[in-house]
Amino acid sequence: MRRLTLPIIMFALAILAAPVFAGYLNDVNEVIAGNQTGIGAKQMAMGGTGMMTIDGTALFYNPANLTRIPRIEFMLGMSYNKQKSDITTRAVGEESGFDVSDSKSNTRISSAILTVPYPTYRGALVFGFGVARLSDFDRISNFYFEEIDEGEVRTSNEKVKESGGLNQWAFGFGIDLSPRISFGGALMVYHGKHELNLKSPLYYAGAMESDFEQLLEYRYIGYGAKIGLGMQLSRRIGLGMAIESPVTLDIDQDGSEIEFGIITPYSTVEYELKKPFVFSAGAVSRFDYFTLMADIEYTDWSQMSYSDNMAMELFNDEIEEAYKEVLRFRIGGEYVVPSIDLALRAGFFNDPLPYQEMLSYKNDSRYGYSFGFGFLVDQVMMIDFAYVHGSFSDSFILESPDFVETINLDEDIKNDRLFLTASYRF
Amino acid sequence: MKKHFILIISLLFMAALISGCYTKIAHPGEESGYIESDDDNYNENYGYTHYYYPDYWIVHNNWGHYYASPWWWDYYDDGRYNYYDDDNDGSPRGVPGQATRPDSRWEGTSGLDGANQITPGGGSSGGSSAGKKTSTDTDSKPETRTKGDQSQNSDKKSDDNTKPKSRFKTK
Repeated sequence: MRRLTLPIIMFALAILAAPVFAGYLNDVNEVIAGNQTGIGAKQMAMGGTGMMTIDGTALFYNPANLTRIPRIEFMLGMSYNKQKSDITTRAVGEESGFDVSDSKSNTRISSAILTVPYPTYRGALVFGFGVARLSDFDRISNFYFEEIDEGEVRTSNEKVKESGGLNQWAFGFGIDLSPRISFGGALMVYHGKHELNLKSPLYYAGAMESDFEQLLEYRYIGYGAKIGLGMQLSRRIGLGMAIESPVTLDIDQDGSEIEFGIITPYSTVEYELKKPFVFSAGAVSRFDYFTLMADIEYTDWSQMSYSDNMAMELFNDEIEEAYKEVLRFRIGGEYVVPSIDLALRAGFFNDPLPYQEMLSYKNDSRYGYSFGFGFLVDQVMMIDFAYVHGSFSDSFILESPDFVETINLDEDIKNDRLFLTASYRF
Repeated sequence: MKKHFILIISLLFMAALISGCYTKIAHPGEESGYIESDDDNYNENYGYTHYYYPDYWIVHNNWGHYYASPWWWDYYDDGRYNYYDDDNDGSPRGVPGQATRPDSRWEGTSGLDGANQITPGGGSSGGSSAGKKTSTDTDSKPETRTKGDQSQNSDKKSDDNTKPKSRFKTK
């Protein structure tokens, strides 16, 4: 009986349809929406401001600013991501309950970008090619609750471990249209995998009575494009704008479950997920050794939609109800001490979750801070480091006829990320 | 079909941008060189288009080299902008500005003497501000030349090697 309760609430749609469920918004629902890892240690140290950046990461932030790269550049980046989850479950109205802390971390190569300026005697024409990690799917969720099974109160545990990521391959260019205006564009190919492992053992009188495990795997491939403008309004003020086209992701989904040693495979589901337009803008202001940058980004996630699968398309209405439009804000500063070839950076960002709040679901805005530094080595290599801390909290009310009582689940998520980037200019 | 239409429109748009826009690309290997700008464009070369350079890029040689010195300058300037000396087994140069001119990678680039204002180390202008020419005769335009004047131009370079050089010749 219990197998028909929470696992179904959480993942029935994930198995049969998609990771979207208006009534219960588990982390799994945010696999694509609003999930951006960040590219480049320099940019991440400045809160994630990249719209007016002038290194190879401009290929992904705003291709127009590729024109500001005068030398052939190869950039390689690594990232470390640790997610810490603190979940409290208790009966509604009760003070005590179950408290569980868990964490998951990964270290990965996060970007590799080659930028090649073509010789010009006026203006600039620069090409870029590279790959960067757009989203990290590394998460963990672990909590306990009580339910009634065959007339007995049993303690159940749900532990969900997710891994994988979405990589973004890009080929683009930037070209000067006038002394103060540059234009750029990039074609993007998306490729990635999301693996989800749910373990749900059932305990009776402190001993594990049965085990249940579910494996889901999503494979993504898609394409899109981005165009951008960079404008120098005055010697100190610059503005940038970019539009990212809707991205169509082809998704293949496989899975299986194991209980009492019996493996039951799920049939493969194929569908398309269309991400909406992303509009972004940024500004830079330079004051001698100090640079201030600010970015905003607007996405209406309620315009996400499924296609190419009739069963999936039935959930498009729920997407519209569950998701909302989001305006992200980022600000960062850099102070250069040129005499010792050092750049000090710090930033702040506000990155709201893309979910609609409702009676059974509340969340606080996701925000964070960052800082870092960069060294210019022998005038040809820049080594950048960034530390980024972000956090948010949310709460759910879970109901089921099998629960002893209605459950209140409070979740605190903290992310600590490290970025290391080395750029060599030939 | 719709996807193809969008792709074709995008490519046409890009082609139009590249073929007729402000940016003029160099054509290495052409006999006439890639110096086609006229005097009116003298202030619109690579350096001037990025006139928001912070001062420290100019004052501090290594920052200027990293952020402001196009790689192709290394191959046809008088050597002052190269950190590494190609004529000295690639070893770091002891005194910037004293190296001999490296062999040009491109054909037809001898005698390039257009001005670029971004001068790591400050150049003769002292490097105190961005967007200024390094030449001591900053108020005068470079001498207008024709394509056939290359030999004359080269001669002038050798006679005037101590002054900041313009990088681009004109028709």
